[in-house]
Amino acid sequence: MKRGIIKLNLIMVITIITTLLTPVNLVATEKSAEYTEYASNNRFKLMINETSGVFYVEDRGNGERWYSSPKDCESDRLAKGKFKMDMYSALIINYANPDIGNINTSNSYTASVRKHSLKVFKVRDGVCFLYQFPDEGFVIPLYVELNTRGFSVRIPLEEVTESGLARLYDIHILPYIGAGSFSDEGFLLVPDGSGAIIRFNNDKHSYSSYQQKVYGRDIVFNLEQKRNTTQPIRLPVFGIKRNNAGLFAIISDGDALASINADVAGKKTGYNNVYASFSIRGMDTHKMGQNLGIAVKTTNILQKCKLPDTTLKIEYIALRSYNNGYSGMAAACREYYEKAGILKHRVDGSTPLFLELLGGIEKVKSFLGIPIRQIEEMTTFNEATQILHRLQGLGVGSIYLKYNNWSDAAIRGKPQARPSASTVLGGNESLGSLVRNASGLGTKVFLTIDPTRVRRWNVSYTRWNSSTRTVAQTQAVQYEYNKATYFKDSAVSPCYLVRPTRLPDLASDYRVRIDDIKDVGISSDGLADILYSDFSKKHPVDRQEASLYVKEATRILAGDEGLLTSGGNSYAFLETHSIIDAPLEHSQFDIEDEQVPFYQMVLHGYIYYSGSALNLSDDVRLAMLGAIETGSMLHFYLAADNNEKLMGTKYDDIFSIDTSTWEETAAMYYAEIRKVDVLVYNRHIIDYERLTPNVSCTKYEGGISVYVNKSHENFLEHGIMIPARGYRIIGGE
Amino acid sequence: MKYSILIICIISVVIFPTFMVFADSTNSSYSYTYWGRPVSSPRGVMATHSLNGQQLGAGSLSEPSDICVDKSGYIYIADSGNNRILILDGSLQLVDVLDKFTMDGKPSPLNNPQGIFVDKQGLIYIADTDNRRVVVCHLDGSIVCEFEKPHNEIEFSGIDFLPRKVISSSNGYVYVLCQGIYQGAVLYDFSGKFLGYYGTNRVEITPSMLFDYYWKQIMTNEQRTKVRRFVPEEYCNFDIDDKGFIYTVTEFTSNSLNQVKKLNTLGVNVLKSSNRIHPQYQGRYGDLELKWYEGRILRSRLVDISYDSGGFINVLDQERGRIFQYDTEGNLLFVAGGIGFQSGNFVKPVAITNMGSDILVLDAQKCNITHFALTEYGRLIREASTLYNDGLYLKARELWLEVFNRNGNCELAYAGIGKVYYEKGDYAKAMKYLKLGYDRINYGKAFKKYREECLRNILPIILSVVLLYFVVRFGYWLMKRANTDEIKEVPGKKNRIKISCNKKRMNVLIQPFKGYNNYIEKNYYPKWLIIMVLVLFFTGSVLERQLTGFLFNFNNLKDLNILYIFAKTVIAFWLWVAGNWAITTLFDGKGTLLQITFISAVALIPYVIASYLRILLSNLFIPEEAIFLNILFVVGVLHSCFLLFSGLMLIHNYTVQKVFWSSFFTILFIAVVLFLIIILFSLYQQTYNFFKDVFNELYYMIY
Repeated sequence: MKRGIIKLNLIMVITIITTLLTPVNLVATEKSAEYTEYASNNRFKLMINETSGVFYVEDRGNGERWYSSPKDCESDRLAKGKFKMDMYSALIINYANPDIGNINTSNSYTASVRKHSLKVFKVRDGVCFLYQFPDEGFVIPLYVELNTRGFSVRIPLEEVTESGLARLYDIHILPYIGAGSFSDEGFLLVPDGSGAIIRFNNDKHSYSSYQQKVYGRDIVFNLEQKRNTTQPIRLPVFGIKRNNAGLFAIISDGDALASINADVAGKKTGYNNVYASFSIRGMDTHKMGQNLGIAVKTTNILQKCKLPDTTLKIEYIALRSYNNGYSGMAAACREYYEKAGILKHRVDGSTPLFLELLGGIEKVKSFLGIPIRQIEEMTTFNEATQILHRLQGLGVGSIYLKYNNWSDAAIRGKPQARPSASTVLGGNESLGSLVRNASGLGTKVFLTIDPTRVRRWNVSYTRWNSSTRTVAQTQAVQYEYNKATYFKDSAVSPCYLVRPTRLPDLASDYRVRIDDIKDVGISSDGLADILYSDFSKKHPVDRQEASLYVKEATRILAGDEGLLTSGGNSYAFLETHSIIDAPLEHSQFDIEDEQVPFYQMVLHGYIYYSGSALNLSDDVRLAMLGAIETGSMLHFYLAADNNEKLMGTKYDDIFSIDTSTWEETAAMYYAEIRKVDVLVYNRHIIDYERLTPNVSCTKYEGGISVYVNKSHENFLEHGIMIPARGYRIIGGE
Repeated sequence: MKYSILIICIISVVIFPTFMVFADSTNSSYSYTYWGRPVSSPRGVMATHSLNGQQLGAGSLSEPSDICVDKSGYIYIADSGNNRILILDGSLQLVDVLDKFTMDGKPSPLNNPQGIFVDKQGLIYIADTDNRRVVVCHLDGSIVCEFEKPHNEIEFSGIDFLPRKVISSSNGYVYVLCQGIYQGAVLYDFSGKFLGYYGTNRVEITPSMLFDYYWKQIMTNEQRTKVRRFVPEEYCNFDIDDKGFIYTVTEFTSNSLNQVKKLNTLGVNVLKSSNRIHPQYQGRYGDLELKWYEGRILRSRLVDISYDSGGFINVLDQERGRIFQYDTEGNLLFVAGGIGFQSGNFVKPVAITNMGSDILVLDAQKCNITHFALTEYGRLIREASTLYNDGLYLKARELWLEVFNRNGNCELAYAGIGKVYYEKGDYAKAMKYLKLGYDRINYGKAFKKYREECLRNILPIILSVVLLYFVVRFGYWLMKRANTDEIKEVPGKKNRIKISCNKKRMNVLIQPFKGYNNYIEKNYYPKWLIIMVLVLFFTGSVLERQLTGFLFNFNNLKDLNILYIFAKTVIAFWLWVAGNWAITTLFDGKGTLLQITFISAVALIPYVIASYLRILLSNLFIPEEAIFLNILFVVGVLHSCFLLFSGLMLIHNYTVQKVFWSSFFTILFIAVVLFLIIILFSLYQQTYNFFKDVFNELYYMIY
């Protein structure tokens, strides 16, 4: 009894002390952080600490504050030294003296703020932080401006000055914006492939941090070993969900130079953070003395040219509590693209089957024991017509036929300037009759061009006028990588990259030829899949500029009807008719916790998309369920001939291609996809939920939910049974 | 076909527990072709998920080093750095943490336990490395017995006894692998008595070893002690199956052979090596390609092996983080894993074990375990190969067809399909598929049957053709005889010489002295003959490489290098001629350059004829009849040598002995010339590279 009273007393005392202390604490923070209002609108206000450069944006509606550096990062016990300084900083820069080649790192807090070299100016709707790095000789302006959705942060590169010998290579912007601490709950959204989330404090300390380049690696750079295949980033976005609020970011300019970085608390610091960094100059390595058997010396080759006149711009969109998860982020992203006029059209509800056909191949045949490379057919135009007939007979109502290797130039790997249909496949006449028959069979034919990669050059596109150059001015050779050793495989003939500036020329040459054949669409490999810079001396092109040329090329190829692109990088959305090989998966990085179909949540209803070919997947049923889960169409990569013919050719990674093996499966699965798509084709995906690791629910507008169960057991919840390795549609009848 | 999928689906529903499944097809796996080239393949197993210590709820692991599964499906992990054992159930939920061990009631903690094994009775064997003992304990941590360094054994004096891995057989023997003990596994009976060593690795003989051996003969004793010793390679890890066979892996062997062994109770290796791979790669496991990179050779470092209930063997490679699965015949079925921070990849994988057909891999640096489950393709190929290896070819047929439909690169499937056609009696088709599957043994059988069939059909025709030929030939002979007699009587000189030359030319091959003399007397050495022989020699070599029958031809037809063959034939011929001329000039030879050329060319004729015949016959013969081809070859070579020898004697006016010595020196001359060429070539290459590097350096400086 007595003890109880003492306990009660103690509790009371503690409560009193805490209540007494709380206001004191509040005053203390207010006092130490002298924030001044620089801009405000009816939704947000922007508060700046002029000495430290720390700012926050407050949502007037719910009082949520987004700090540029974590509010109480002083008290973070985990972060030490440099990492702690990084937390205070708005910018982290990598720079080097290109003549020496050693790369250094600085952050804005140590190199600028602490040296009292930060100047703050008021600009319209916001502020400009002028970070001067006196020791390094840089001046970098960072603009923060409010808008109705949130705020934007930008660095116009033409306003950046470099006075010393050192040159800037990487800029990391707001590395700890909105970061979540140990006590917060939430996740980081990273755009790895279809999208993935990293939960706050997931305890994955033994794994490496997340870092990926937007639109994949710049393949112009030499890579001696290629160890793992990853899903590239297709959308330049990232997001943070922290407790009841969400912050979503779109890199609206300079996206092609960007990387997305993320890490969890408990490794370097006590915070979970995600942010963008930008590579603004080229950097490559070269090994000297490799063939001489002496000690190998690795040298960094650094680009010296002036900075590109791009602006690095990130739009941060603050999400309200009712829609703060990744579905809210997807909605924000959708809205952004819609407002920018990029996503305009809606799909027609025809539920196309994406049928990729391999036309001809180059095969080594032996004549009297002498090997000769000759063109052999895999699918002639007549056979293609027959395949379409059979598929229609099996109930496939609509097909997007992507015809690969349809011209001799394509088969031989030459630039496809004004190509004509390969005679081995039946010639122009035969192609004409395929196209004429196709529309009657519910098929739209797309003839494929890969303007970016060639294995041989021709008269007008020569290695001198059209080949992309590396920093060392050699041709940017793209080797295949040996699957076993990870090293370049010299046994397979490499390909070369067409200079970005030449892509529009090649596109218009191709367009002219396609215009001769009536009613035919174009599909492109490469353009929306890979993006590379060009270091040729006469006219160096960085990735951002290259993306403009690529856009120009897609515009030419697309014509009025749009382009069937493979890969589906966001810069090509405007001209995209439909997407093949869109990412349905993530790269499964250890640090990530869950895959989310973010990409699909953005695009569904606007563009028909499909993942990689089902016939090449490890588990066909699973791949089909994945398509249903993500609202995707089916994709098959087939040929009339059988698998055996591709054995030992450079196409041997298409190890299962025979139409007769797959047509029934394709038709069967098509019917299932059709059932779903008829109901949901014109609706947005408003939510996606994972009930168990293998059971998910995709919710569409209008109360339609599609449950998918990938496990081997039936799943039962709230009286709803989802069959093993099956799916179920609820609502919408 | 549909049914088989259905059946497999049903089976899989029954067997497979719920794990997260990914359907990612970005990085397909690979397998090896007959020629040792990696080729794309669907994945046989897929990572379903990976769990680190925190996710297991056991706090972070510290350098875990071994994992094993007991017969009821519980998983044991030796968390070495934390001196404890984790026990998980089949769905990878933590059941227990064993960190308190007692012996006779007193605490007896572990110290860096690196190996763990659980026997059928549920006893846990732990290689308690830094305590220099192996302990056997119950699930509650109470130690039943200890195995220590054998006392009174002379071999163990002065050796630190550091047990790393342990297994026990059903009849009570305990096998322990110790660090630094290369005589094999240390064998105990259950009472702890040391019985000896088991399954010692043999020292692999390599050229460098032979060289060292001879070198040692002329060394002093003191010097000898300083030369490295050739000791057998230490086993890295092992596993035991239900029948008591022990599977071992060795991290490296000097010749990359026998890295994997299956030892019977006597310690004899009974593992079959695949015959579906080029002889160069037979008996090799892991990755077949070696890569020299930055002063280090990159090759598979096999660190663990596990045997699964279906008789398949999984081998774990630490160098590239890969799992290789082999069937009972040693054929590679599929490869999984890789290096990297992605699920299903590893950084430092240390141990592998099986849970049914599922695979668990322990990573010491990521401090996690990764669970792999079979894919549809994996199940298909395993089932097909099991049926096939059991001789149930027809039953395997559907499955092989299915495998082929899923993977056109699978040579095993081609062989499987071929074998079915053979059983059905469709030999032509069987040959086609067996050839694509590089199954030479069955191809030989099918070919034999096919040949019999063909012969039965065309034998009458052949016989009549032969008969006709002889009749015609006889008639021709009669006519010719009459004609030559006539011409001989004609006094015109030109005709006569021609005819006699014709006859003599034929004679050269049979009676060289007489025949050569004819040419020498007339000083007539037809150049067209030399050119023709050389052309035939060269084309013969090309055709021999490319067109020799499949059963006798081990060349990759795609890698034809015409220049190399040209060098091997025509250039070698001229080198010989030049060499012989140079040498014999010194040795007072009488022969002129033209004479030597002519003699050498003529001498080549039997060899060339034999090689063409062999090309022809190799397409008709089966391996059992190879002896005829060999005889043909030997006869051809001997005849050529004889012709060359006698010719040289004649033109140089040499004795037999002198011809022998001059030939010997000619060969020496050729060797020296080749040596010089190689040196020049490599010098050229080095200079080229040097200038290239200097150029690059300057270029980058200016740029």
